[in-house]
Amino acid sequence: MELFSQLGHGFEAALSLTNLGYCLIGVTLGTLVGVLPGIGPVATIAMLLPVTYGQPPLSALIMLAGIYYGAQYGGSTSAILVNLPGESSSVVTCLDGHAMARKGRAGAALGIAALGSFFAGTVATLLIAALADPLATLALKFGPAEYFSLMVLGLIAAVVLANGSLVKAVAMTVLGLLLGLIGTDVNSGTERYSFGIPELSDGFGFVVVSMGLFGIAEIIHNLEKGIERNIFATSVGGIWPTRADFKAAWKPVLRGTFLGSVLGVLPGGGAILSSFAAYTIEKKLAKDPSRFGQGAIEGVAAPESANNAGAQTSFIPLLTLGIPPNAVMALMVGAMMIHGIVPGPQVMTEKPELFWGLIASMWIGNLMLVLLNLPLIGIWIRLLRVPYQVLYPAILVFCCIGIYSVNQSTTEVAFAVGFGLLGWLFIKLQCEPAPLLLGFVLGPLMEENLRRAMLLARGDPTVFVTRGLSLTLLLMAVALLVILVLPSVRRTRDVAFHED
Amino acid sequence: MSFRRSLDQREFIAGAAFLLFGISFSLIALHYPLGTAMRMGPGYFPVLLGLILSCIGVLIGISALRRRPIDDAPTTGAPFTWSSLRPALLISASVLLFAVAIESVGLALATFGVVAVSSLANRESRWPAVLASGIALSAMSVGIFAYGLRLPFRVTPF
Repeated sequence: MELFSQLGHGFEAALSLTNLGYCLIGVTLGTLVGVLPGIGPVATIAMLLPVTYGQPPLSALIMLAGIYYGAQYGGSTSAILVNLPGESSSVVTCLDGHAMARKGRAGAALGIAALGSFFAGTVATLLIAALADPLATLALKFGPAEYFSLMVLGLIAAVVLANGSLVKAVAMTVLGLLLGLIGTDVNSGTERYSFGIPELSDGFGFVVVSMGLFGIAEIIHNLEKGIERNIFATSVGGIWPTRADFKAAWKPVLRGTFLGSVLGVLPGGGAILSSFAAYTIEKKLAKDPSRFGQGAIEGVAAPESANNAGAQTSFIPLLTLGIPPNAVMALMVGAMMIHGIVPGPQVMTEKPELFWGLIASMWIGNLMLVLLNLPLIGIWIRLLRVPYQVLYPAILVFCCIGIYSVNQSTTEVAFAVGFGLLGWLFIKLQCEPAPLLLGFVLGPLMEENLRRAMLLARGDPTVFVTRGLSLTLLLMAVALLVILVLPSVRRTRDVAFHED
Repeated sequence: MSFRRSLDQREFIAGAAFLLFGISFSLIALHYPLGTAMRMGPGYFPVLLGLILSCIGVLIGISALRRRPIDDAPTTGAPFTWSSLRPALLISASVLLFAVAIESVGLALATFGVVAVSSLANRESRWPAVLASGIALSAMSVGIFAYGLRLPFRVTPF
């Protein structure tokens, strides 16, 4: 089996002492920011990007990936214990997880969440390994028209995912594409929208935009609305779920894993959508749906497995096609670029040890997370008691240092303030910033491929529908939009996103 | 019906903002060579996107005026009040202070400045606690970034 020998090489690379260390740092940091509300993996990875300059590429990617899936574990802890989703992907876990905690069964909820996540992580790791080869082969058939259509599909999927109004999410995506075009046009050398400011000749830095929109804006918003915290008083109880718990939970875990793996692969998918979808399905399948919201273990097991599976399989489009399916993966593109690696199908053939090492590290990281989360739960609980007023100045300091350290540019720190205020305005207007960030990353790529496709087709725009692969991708995009407009799906989506 | 109105107002402002963004991006891009559909110049794609954005902006604005029911998450109050400016102003000021301070007085004082000014944004902050966390964070950021990661930062004013 070639697959296993390749995975074996990956494990060899990932099991070196340095890489194990970085993996541990990554998952620990991930759990930490997952537990703490108000700071997420996007801001954390953005902050740590500059730090990875000095590391070997594989170590850097292992650490950053660990932050993402580590945050999925941590998010469930605060959701279950204090009814506060540490991560947006843990929003649904609050419903039944916290209900279980109120009944004194917090331990069982935490246990099943961790074990379900571990199972999902294992399956997703194998899936990435199995799918990587065929997808990379497919990617070699991609011309500019296909890449353009794929990005359209990705952006539409991001819109579907966004919270609130669809039309506004589309507008945010387009605005992101436009912001991405700022700077020197690679084809003609024309500087666009730079107004003679030298810092803008390369466009806005990704760290500047993401720290502003997610870091600074979030802090302003939280302070304005006032964060209150209801600390639990009950004891956690036994961590190990009972035999009855396992019996009730194994099917939801399987379904959640499957659903998360599939939704994660889709561009625009990932952890958030997966957990919502998994919860909805469990509730539909249950013999007695009224138990949901009252502490049904299925309502914890399924979404927690799904979000972890989705978080991991969302690496597939990045690693095989070079297209980031969500904001975190967009940051991973940045991380790879820093080390001179262009994401895409060639990574697998040119740098196999990097590719398989990263995949192997995901399984190792998941194992570490189980070990980290169950016995050390007491530490995370104590962390939850750190008040936000102590936390936010620290987050702000790390944001400032993170932005400044990229180019040692104070102008960029000032730009980040601008994006912070813009992001705050967007929160006020209930426009989700995630599609904007994805558009920002894809903007230049999309223009480039559009230009090339049109040049090759001699200005004939039908090229996007006459080439089979491209047409398939566009039809998928249309199908997504149609499904979304269907009343029943609309209602589910509204229920799922009914949180603030 | 104040809830209804604040919702419509918010949608209207959002639409107007997108329209404004779209028009300005398009207008500026008109100064760049447009090219043809086959050989697109640097202006082609931005003009196109700007127009799309303006259209969406108009769409959002119109639907707000027509008071179509919007299935949305519940609004978190009026979109704009004066008291809500306090965190925005102070957080922005603290980050700008960092930008000014890092190259003139160094990382330690810049960090302390961020903590001090940003703490003003929270009415419940108490000075002894702010002082303590300011000193702790300064020590941490110098320790981690300047010595641990060896980033070439100015650390002290001297």
